[in-house]
Amino acid sequence: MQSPLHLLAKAAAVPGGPLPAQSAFAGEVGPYSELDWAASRETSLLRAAGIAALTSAAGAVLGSASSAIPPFEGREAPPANTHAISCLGTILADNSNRRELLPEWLELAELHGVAPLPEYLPGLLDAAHSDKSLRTRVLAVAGSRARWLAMVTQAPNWKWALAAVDIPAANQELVYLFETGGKEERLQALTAIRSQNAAQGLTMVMGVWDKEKWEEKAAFLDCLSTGLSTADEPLLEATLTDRRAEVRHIGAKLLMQIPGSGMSRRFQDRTLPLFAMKKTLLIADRLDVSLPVACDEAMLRDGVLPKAPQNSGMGDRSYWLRQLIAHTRSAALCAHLRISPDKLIHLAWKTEFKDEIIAGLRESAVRFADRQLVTELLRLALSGDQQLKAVGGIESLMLSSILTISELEELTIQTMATGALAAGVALAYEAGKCTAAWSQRFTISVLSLLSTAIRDLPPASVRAYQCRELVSLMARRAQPQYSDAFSGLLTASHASQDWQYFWQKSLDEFTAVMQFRSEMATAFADRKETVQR
Amino acid sequence: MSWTAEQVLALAPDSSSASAGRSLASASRWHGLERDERCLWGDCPGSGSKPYAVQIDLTEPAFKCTCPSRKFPCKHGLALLLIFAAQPNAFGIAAPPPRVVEWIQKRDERQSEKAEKAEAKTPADPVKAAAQQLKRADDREKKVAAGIDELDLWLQDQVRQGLASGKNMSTQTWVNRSARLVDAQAPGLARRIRQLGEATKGLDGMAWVQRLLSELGSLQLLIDAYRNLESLTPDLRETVRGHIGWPVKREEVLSGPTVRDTWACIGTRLSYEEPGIVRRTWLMGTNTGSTALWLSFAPAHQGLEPGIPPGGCIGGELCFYPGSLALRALVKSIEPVPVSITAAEIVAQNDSNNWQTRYAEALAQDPWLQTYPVTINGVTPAWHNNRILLNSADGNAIPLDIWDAYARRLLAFSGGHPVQISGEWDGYVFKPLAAWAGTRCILLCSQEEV
Repeated sequence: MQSPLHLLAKAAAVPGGPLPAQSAFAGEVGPYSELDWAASRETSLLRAAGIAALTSAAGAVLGSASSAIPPFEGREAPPANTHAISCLGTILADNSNRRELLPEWLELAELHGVAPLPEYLPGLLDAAHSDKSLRTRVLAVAGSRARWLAMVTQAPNWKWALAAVDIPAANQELVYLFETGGKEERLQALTAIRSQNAAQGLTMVMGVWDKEKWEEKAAFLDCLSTGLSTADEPLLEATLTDRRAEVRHIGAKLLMQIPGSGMSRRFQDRTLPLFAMKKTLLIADRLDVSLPVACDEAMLRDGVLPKAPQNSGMGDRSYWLRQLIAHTRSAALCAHLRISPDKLIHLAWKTEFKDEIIAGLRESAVRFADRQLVTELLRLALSGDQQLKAVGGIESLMLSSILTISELEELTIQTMATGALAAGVALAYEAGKCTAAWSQRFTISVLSLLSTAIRDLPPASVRAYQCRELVSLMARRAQPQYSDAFSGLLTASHASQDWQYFWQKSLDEFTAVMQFRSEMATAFADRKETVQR
Repeated sequence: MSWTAEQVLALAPDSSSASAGRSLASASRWHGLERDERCLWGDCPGSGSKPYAVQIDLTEPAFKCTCPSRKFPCKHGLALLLIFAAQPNAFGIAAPPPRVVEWIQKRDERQSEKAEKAEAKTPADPVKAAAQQLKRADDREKKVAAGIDELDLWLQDQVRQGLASGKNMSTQTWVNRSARLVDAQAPGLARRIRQLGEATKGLDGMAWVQRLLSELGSLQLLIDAYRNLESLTPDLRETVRGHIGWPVKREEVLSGPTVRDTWACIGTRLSYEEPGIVRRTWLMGTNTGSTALWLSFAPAHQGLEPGIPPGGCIGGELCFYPGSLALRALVKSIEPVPVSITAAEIVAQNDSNNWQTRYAEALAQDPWLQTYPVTINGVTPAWHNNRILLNSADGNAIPLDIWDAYARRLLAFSGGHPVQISGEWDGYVFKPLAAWAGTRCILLCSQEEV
């Protein structure tokens, strides 16, 4: 039977829709019988609808319960105390200027074995969606509930939390997952198989190779970096002629990572003959460098770009030289010339192709994670502005975390000790960025560097801006228990207005961030205050 | 009551004050953090040579700060309360300094003055004033009557043309129609018309026609009732006049009977309604079991006075507006509540299994009632066609109107286990305000106007 409201709506929907017969309302709750249907069709209809609406709202019939969400039954750490939770609230707030401290909060929570309150999980999952580096930490402090939430909400932005569920180790399940799963799952299964049995992984990739789109091909190739060996060479060599540049790039990159691969030998054979030592009795040793004569088919196939980028000021042949060096291990070059890496750089700097060679060596150092070469290049970069420019900035050598944190800090401290303010600031900033928590020794050297810099550098100069960046970095990375000592040293005591204007805000912010961090540490250490669940 | 950061920030006049308050809320920045039973005070260094002296009366809460900001409460006040929420132990217990004592005295005096004034306000020339008032009322009466006649005609036109033909009506249609009623001095009707567009949004086909027809039908009954005002009971007469938009003087309400109780705030909702911001604060009485709606208004772009945050509670007297259903009220006086009493407890004690019956009873008293506050025990979130809804303990599905972000928050908070929820029910859909479990509560609607 249709409800009165439904009948009335049918009548009201179209012009002149026939009114329902009065008998249709017999037995319905509501004073329908008192309506004067003769008055006006429209008014009667509206009045009846008013009654019907009222009775249907008052007696709203709810649907029957839907399939329930499986409740969260997992284990989790006890919640952090009120103070620590309020720090998290500040960090996650909209327009928060403390966002950068989220990793530290998570680290502290993990250290103290406490979890965020459940209602903060959406905020944490969103934060880790946009910043992948947070994911492991978020899962470490709230993993089971976060996964449950990602599962029940099916939120696309939180899929990563599901994918991070420990993959069943059984090989058969992995194979099944690779054959039937979605892209993320397939990649994880493949990586897992590669670490168990690299040959099996390779066979699986080759088995599906022709059927996949290029995006999958590129992603699968990336997975091969786990358990990479000469056995993978044939497939990788074949990718060098793939139609998609993305696939060719990954193939070439992996081939270069296989020690003694055909590709690396080919590059070596092209590069070494271009270099020779000139030893004379009269003048100092000299490095003779000649440019490659041609870029042949084989070089093109190996991924050498034939044309120098426009406006680079480089000739095509110099560009080939740079690329060849970039694909050659410095050890091979040094052995060929019978000199040490520092000598190589020293001599190269005196040749007419110094810019190309240094740029090539930098790429090679990063590609082969060549620590010695990185160190030597850094030394070169710190020796002068022209050298710094040739190396292409210190940051280009820092990104790949080739040097260990302590090596970096050591190098920085050495540089600062020589009194080179500009180089010290630049290196300290880059080294500081690579280091999650600064050591005490490093912090103290940066601090003394900064107090000199703040005193001496003219405000609003390039270096002064860099220093300000360093101040804000230090606020986030140095150990918070020294915050009082820091703020004492870094006080704006200069008389000039310009100077005050330039530094005051940045130093205030430094103090505020330090205070926040120190309070956060205190909050976690305080075991008395706990939140009731 | 004890405070949470979320409750404190619900008092912020805007989001920039909220974030400024957050960044100032670190105890080591402050000096002389102290409190007694009723007040908090402390000094916050600012850009000037003298630190700002900040003090808070927790009963209301009321703020005072020596900074020049015109925001209210200012970031310093918010920060002080935030510190109190996170680290109550950062405050030493002490006797209030003279500046606090003086301020509190003044506040108390003003309170009692206000009450007296409300009771005894006599115009200079009573006879003339009464005559003027009568004339104004008479003018308004005529305007409203004309406006209602026009609305009646418009309603008939809608039905005559067939409601389905109006499916393509733009929002502007409602806005224009609403403006006509504002001119006719019937703001209550105007608001209803404007909300029509909102209520029918997202519906299609016959469902849309049905919903629209329901609302129009309800308007028709309101028109009928207003035209037959004389035949109604005095209470119902007030209710009908209230829905049309006849104003009731604050003083009149405040001089009426009072209801004294401990009131828990079960949620607030901010909305933008021409020409300003409206905050609905839903209160629930511990002993009387009554529910109340406290409306606060502010012009656009100006902050509201701080009110009672969701999950907070106050003691005091409310005065209800006249009408057949006691719902809308004014807060006449506020008294401190022992810290041991929490809103969560009050809400938990409330027997909420018959919430639909209570709504029906309320409708019987006021057939034009739009939203009604309810709390429901033991609901579990569930999915249905990619929409979240609530499964009630007795096996029903309660449809929800909730933003995605808050739906996920509710899910995280509940963990899929039963929780208690407070919100607004309009006979069609439940709009959550807050969820409760144990002594904790989380907010489920935006604290900024939408």
